[in-house]
Amino acid sequence: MSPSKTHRLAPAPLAPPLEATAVIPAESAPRLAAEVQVMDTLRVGLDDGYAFTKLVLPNNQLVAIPSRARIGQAGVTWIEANKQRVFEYSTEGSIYSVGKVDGDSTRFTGYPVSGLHRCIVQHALQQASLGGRSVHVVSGLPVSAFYFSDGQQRSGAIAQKRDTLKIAVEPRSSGGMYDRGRPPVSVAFHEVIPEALAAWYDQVIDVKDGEASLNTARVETPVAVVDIGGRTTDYVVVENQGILHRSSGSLSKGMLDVHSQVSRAIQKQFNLESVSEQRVAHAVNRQTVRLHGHEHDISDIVKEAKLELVTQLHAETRRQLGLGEELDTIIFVGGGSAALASDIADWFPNQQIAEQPAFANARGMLKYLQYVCEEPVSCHAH
Amino acid sequence: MKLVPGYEYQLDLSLDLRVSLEAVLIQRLRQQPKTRHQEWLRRLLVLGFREECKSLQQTVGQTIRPASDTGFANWLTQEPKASSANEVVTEKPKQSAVAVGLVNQKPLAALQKVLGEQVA
Repeated sequence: MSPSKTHRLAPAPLAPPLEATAVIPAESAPRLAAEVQVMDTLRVGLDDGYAFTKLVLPNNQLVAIPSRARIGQAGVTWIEANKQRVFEYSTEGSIYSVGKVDGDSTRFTGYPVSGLHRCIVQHALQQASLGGRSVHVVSGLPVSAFYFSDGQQRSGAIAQKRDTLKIAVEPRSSGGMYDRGRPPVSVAFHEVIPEALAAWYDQVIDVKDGEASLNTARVETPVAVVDIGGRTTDYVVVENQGILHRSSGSLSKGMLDVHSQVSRAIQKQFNLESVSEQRVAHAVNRQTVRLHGHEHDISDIVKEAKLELVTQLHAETRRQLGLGEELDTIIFVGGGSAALASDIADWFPNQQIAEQPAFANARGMLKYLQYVCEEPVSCHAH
Repeated sequence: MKLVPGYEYQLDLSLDLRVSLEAVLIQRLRQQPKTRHQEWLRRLLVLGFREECKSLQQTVGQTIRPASDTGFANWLTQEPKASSANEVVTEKPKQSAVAVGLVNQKPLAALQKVLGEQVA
């Protein structure tokens, strides 16, 4: 091979210098360059909700998957890798199936520190094509899980959440003949912040051409964030860069309550013993349910379930925020804000629904990681 | 560490996934073919020790410092000096930094106080 057909690559961080001086054949350069790039640590905003797990990456890539998994093997061999819909992961000796499965409920208190959660997060990272990468992550806890009622941080619960994502999760082979294996995504750094406060960071940090600046007008005025999620609805009021804890907290109500009520109503109306969680989610979205080969209109059931949730949310919002006359802006975020947009449209004259509200928390978490958070820099962090 | 017959020492080492650098190291190891693991780790260890030796050489003739104050011992915990932080900013892209240790040179680090004080 002639010397003109060779490239010298920059050393990968932490790689032994011998590799830096090795002469690399030209045809191998792209693959090796990709490997060097893989060595870079990537920053990820992770909104690990009970209904959906959302990621925001620095290149503005958005990823959302249902927080749906169950303990145990999938019991399916996928012949073609690109048709695979259920993925297996193992962590701490247990196997979980993630993807298009009838999932175990995520609505239990320990979910954010469970193996179920860890495998769903790993799957979301895999779906973002981050296999083999090391990532730095900021995720969240509901306000009431992050703070005691007096405003002190629940340091034990926060540390537990922080540590759980660092426990290894291994993707398992699908067993198909074309399966090439999936390297795991490892979480090298994980910080936790209150979920609704993440959306506040999203609001006050403006990013243009990679440069961050503070939105001083918004920072100086009292702002409330209402985060309507799957299991909880979070309230946080920030004034003069401090949280008003008397007006902040969480209500254990969210969009999954709509799913529960619709499920009960379908069982009752059609005399069914059970309805799968996937079928209910589909029914809520489409307002129809397919049974015995026929589509049935259930729009009244969905409307009634939403109305019940909206009534509860409205009462709690009034209790937390009053009429909002002392607030400059009330910002609605979370997947529930998008799903209930027409129902919550006229609660306050000074309200707004955030841009892509389902991703507002994850965006804020990424901004917090990029521009605010103390972070170990172990190699190139993007 | 245990002695095995012949000229080799066998090291039994555990790495902690909660430590960023160690997690990255494991990730990097996984990317190597399994047949190269031993060789890669041995080289990493030797090169790390060589750096340690350089630090020790630099301390010869100077005031004796505690053993933990060598370059290698500091690699996980050192705070970046102001001058080195500036060098990073001028030499690397804005959102990229090459350094080791805990840093908070973030442009909006002051906003961290909104979270409130962490109680031990």
